[in-house]
Order: sequence, then C-alpha cells, then structure tokens
Amino acid sequence: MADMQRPLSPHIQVYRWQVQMVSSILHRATGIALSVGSLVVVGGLLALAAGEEQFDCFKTFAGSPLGLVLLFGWSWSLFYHLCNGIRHLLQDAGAGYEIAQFVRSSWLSLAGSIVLTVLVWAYVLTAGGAA
Amino acid sequence: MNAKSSVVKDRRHPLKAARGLGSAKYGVGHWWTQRVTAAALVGLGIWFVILVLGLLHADYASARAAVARPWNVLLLLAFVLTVF
Repeated sequence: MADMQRPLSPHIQVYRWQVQMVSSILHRATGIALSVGSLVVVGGLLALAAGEEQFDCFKTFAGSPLGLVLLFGWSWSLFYHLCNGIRHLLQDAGAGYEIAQFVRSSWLSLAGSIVLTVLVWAYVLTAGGAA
Repeated sequence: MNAKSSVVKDRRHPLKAARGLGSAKYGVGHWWTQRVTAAALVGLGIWFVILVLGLLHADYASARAAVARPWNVLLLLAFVLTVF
C-alpha cells in the first residue's frame, strides 16, 4: 500500500477558478458540442437534397422547443469557439503571452461570444419569431 | 511485493523501445492542417451563419435555390469539407 503515498500531479480540484481555465475548458467543450452539431448541419443539407417533405420535417424539428434550445446552444458554442479560436491563432503566432494579456483576451472571447449570440438571436426574433 | 507471485519477463520500460527513433513524422503537417482549416473556418463559419439567417423562414423552393447558386455551392462545399 506504499503506492498510495506517492505524490499526485495536481489536477483541477487544487486550483482556484480562473478565467484562463474557464476559457480553455469551454473551448474543448464547445468544440465537442460543435462536432455533434455539424452532423445536424449535414442532416439539414441531406434533407434539403432529399425533397420538400424531408425538408419540412427538418424545419419542424428545428422550430420545436427542443430544436430551438439546441440551436441556441450551438450558436453560442460556435461564436465562443470562433472568438477563442481566433485568440488561439494569435497565441500560436506568439502574441499575448503576458499574464495580464492572457486574462484580458480570455474575457474578450467570452464577452465577444455573448455579444454575437445576442445579436444573432435578436435578429431571429425581430425577423418574425423562430421558424 | 507482487514481484514474486507474478513472473515479469521484461522489466525494460517501453520508453526504451521508442527513444531515439525520432518523431512520428506527421506532427508538423498535422499542426499546419489544423491552423489552415481553423483560419479558413473563421471566414466560412461567419458566412454560413449569415446564409442560414437569410434562409430563416424560407420555403423549400427558395432554400433549394439559395443553396444551388454557384458561389453558395462552392462555399458550402468548402465549409463542409473543412469542418470534417
């Protein structure tokens, strides 16, 4: 049982929550959500190709309460992954590695994603309600 | 403790077999593929959202017509291929 005394490498439970962690975790989570959502995009395109009946079926699903909740989640996931993805591309280029910049850009991608999501759904609602 | 009960034939660490053989060779190419598709999806993703918003209450015929327009076909193909 001596094995139990060995040191463990620290995992998330020992850290105080910080925005940099949140942005990283959300990037992974929204990426997973989007890869599921991309299947629905393909499903919609297939329905469009298959004919009017199938397309109407897809539209009914997209306009149902469950469909709208999913669409709302995917729209935010897309915008968050977009904003944070641009942030990651800039960091890949070597920019913004100071801690203060890192924290600021995390907040920026979070705020940007919320603003974009609100804008899109404001447009959807003003354009005459959802589906 | 358990060493006596189970006979271990090879105590060499698996790392020993891999060390010195170099990288798996595809890392840089994969990294670049990820960066290029990511950069492309910034534009294509925004375009796709705008396309879908334009089709909000479209009936079947107009949705089909919009997707069938040459530029939209091209960008949609690029979008789907880049996503996957």
